[in-house]
Amino acid sequence: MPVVLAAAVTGLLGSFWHWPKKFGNHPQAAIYAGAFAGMCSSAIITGWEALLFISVVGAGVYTLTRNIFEGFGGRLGAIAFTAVSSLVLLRALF
Amino acid sequence: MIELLVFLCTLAGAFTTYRLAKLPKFNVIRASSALTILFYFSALIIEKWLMAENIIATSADIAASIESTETYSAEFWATVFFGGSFVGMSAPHRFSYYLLTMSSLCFAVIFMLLLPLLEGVGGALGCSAFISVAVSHSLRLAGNKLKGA
Repeated sequence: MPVVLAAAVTGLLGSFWHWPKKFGNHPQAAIYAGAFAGMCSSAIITGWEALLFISVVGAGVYTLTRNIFEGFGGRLGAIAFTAVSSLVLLRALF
Repeated sequence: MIELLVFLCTLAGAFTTYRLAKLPKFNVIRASSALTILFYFSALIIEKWLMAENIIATSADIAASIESTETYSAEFWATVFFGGSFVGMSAPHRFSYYLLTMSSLCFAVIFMLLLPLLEGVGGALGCSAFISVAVSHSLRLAGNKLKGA
C-alpha cells in the first residue's frame, strides 16, 4: 500500500473514533500526526524502539505546542517532522 | 508544465479541503484524509487509462511514457494533493482564499525544490506545508504593518 494512502486511511479511521467531548479534536489530530510520522522509510524506523521514541517525542511536542500556531495548516506534519528529526539527530550523535 | 500541474494539484487539495472542512459532519482531518483517498483512486484510474492508450503508440513512445509514468505516478500526484490538503487544513478565521493561494504557490515551490532531499522522512510533507502557510501569514502581517506605517 502506498504511504500516502496508508496515512490517509489511518487519519480517516481515526476521525470516526468517538472520544469524550472534553478532549475535543485532539485525539484525532494526534492520530493524524502519528500517521504522518509513520510515513518514514524503513531505514529510519528500524524497530519498535524507534517507533516508541517517535511517538513519545511527538506526543510531548504536541502537548507543549497545543495552543501555539492554532489554525495553521501543516502544524501536525511539522510536529511529526520534529519527532522524526530528533530520532535521526540522536542516531547521528550517538 | 509539470511545475504548473503541481501548483494546480496543490491548489485543488487546499481549496477542496478548506471547503469540505466547513461542512457539517466534517472536520479538517476527515476532509483531508477522505479527499486524498478519493484523489488517489481517481489518479490511479487515469494512470491505468493512459497506460492502456499507449498500447497503440510506437515502442520509443512507450519507453518514454513508461519512464514518465514511473516518475509522475498516481502516488506522486496523490502526494502533491496530500500536501495541498495540509495547506487547506488552515482555519478559515485566519486564512482567506487569497492567503491559501499564496501558501499553495509557496508549497509547490518547496515541493519541487526541497522535498526530494527529504525523501523517506515522515512529516516532511506536512512540515513543508506549515512553512508555506507561515511564510504567507508573515507576508500578510508585514503587509499590514507597512500599510499602517
